[in-house]
Amino acid sequence: MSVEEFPRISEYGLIGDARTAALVSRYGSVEWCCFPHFDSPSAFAAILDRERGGFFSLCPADEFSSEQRYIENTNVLETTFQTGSGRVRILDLFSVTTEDQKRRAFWPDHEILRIVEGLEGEVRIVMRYAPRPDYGKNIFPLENRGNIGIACSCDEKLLLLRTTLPASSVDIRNGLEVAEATATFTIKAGTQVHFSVVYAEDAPAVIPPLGEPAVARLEESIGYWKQWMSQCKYDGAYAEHVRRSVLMLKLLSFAPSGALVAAPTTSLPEHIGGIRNWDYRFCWPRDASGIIRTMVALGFHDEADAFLSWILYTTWLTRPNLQVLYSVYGHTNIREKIIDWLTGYRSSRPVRIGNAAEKQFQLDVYGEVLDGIYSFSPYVAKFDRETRDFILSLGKAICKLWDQPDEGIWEVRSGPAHHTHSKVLAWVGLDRLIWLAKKYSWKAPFEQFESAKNKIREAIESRGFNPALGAYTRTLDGAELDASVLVMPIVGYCDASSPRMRSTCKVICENLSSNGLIWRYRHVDDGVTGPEGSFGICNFWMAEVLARAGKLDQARHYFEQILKRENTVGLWPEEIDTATGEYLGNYPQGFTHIGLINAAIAISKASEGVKAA
Amino acid sequence: MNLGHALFWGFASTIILTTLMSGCRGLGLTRMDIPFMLGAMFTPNRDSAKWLGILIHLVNGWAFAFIYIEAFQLTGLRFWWFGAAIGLVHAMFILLVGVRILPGVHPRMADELRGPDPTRQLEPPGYLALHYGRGTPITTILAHIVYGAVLGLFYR
Repeated sequence: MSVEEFPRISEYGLIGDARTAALVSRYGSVEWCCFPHFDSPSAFAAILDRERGGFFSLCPADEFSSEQRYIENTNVLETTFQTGSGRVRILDLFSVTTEDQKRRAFWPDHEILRIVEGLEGEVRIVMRYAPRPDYGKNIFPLENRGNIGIACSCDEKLLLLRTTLPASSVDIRNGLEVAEATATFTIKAGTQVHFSVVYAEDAPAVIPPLGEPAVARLEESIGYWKQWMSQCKYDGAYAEHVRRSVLMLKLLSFAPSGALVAAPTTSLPEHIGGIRNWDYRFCWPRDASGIIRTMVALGFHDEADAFLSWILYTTWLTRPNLQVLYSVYGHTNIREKIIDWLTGYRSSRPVRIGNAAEKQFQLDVYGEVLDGIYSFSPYVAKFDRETRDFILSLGKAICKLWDQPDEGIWEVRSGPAHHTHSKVLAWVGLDRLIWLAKKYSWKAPFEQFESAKNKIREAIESRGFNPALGAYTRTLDGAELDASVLVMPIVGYCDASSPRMRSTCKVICENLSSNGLIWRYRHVDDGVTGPEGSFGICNFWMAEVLARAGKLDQARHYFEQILKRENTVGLWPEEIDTATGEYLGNYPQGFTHIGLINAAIAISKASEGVKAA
Repeated sequence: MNLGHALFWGFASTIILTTLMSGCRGLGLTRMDIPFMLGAMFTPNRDSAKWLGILIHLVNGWAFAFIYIEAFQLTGLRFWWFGAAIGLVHAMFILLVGVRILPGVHPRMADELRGPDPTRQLEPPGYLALHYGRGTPITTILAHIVYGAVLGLFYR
């Protein structure tokens, strides 16, 4: 595949350092990366524009086949190319190490390390390096600094490419429309060529040596990831998928604050050529419940603790209200803008940065956060007074807001409505808060909380279930289906085996699925035109509910139907085309991976004959 | 130097500064909590860190008042506007230098380059302490200007 063609979304693997991440195609090209943080402007964005986006490609000069996988239990990506003359692999990674190690020796702020290694015969490789800082808006010339490397400066920010190739073998072209370094080299079995891209912005760049020290950084990084994964205590059903998912979630975490972004990309379309293109490089407090539950279940307490701390202390700016999304540092003013100079992925315009959902009201967020706090509470002996007051204020906010219409979990742009899912999570929030207040002996308005909780349940049961349809509906008094109600037994609102839930699952399976994949809703005016794919997490919700109901075969069916569409690196997007299996939407998406992990755990428990509580 | 005035107005201006910063937090303008950040250097307990930090902050405020007063005496400019000007320089030093070196000396503060190890520590303040909210620089500057102005106005 030439650089001019867009790979499928499923043909990318992700590498990262828990501050930013990069997508590397199975054709050997780095085509998405933002520095220094997930939501910073991109330096490589060929996934959104083949001409202007910028890329760093290492690809055989001759015809080849390729495959991509991760080194087991690591986030080190291996892309292997087979040509008529030989076989070669590229190891792609962000070099990582422990904080202790960083205190002992200089470590680059961010380094993408690419090691090309000959495996059999010899292969001619073409290197093309064309960084385009600031979303490719302008061309920044490349400067050959000899032994130091090839520099690309954008204001005070520096991208530096270093290689073990002789400087004379690298050509640099600078012009009005081009700034590119190229080289062609032959690699023989048993030899290596190293490339390193480092980024620095507010201090002199740490220039990492290549050769043996680069191999040492590779080994250090592999060791780091394996050590981190040794905490994982899961060995149940679909263990390999669970392990890959948790490694992926780790790449979406932002270590300096403890936040976790929804996805590392923006504007990968929910329909090819469509306008459903959103920026997901932010943190949704909604994900709190799923992330904390998942991390605690798998044994990653530090990550769960860090994320909970982020939720509790970065929401200061909007207290007592919770905003739908925040930046990795808790910033609240995330305006949506259109980057009109990029073509978008396969002409899917517009390319957006920022997210207008920031200004929406989504009631369920309160319940999700309280459920997250509840999930971590076994590890908290006592909350400080300020945190206690904040937690109690969330309950008061629910009591005040629960009967207000909201934009709901799917962030519809058609205006607020009384979403059943939102009411369920409001109930969950009060349920968890009452439990927390009793556990920690807090003085709380129990009567107010109990009264509101009962009213919410009454509203859901009397107006959120449509007897004619035989299902809980998208909105109160509505007649439309919505897969989000599948969370009801998952969050403990009702039993998965209850008649209403069984019936709801059946109706959703009959009406919202195609080829074994489940849409979130169909034929609903959500304020945005154009079709979309099935929603990845909905399959996993269905599998989890069925497992909790003891219907193990059906649970496995829905789990494995989506697994059939898995790519070679085990990463999942937000959506999947039901007809073609093509990945759609931002990628990889944490929400889908959280669903996978929780469904696998539920199936595993059900398999062991232990009904998931 | 009028020691009684220095102690009293140093204390009063520190109280005003602390109250202003705390008020800005309450209004959702910033998450910067200088007393808590100071207290957290000595204890991970959030409740203890707050009261300990307030004590440290008061002592700091007193100490800085003597520097302001020395400047008044050296220049002979005992005016509110001169105190405000020193406050501006003081705030800029905190925002441009102090918070930037804080992650390096604070035992419970993560730095910008942390990762992939997760943090259970305080997030770093960043340039101009902007990570704590976009209103942080202006609230910090205003609070320190008021601090200096009070000293300049009342110290005699």
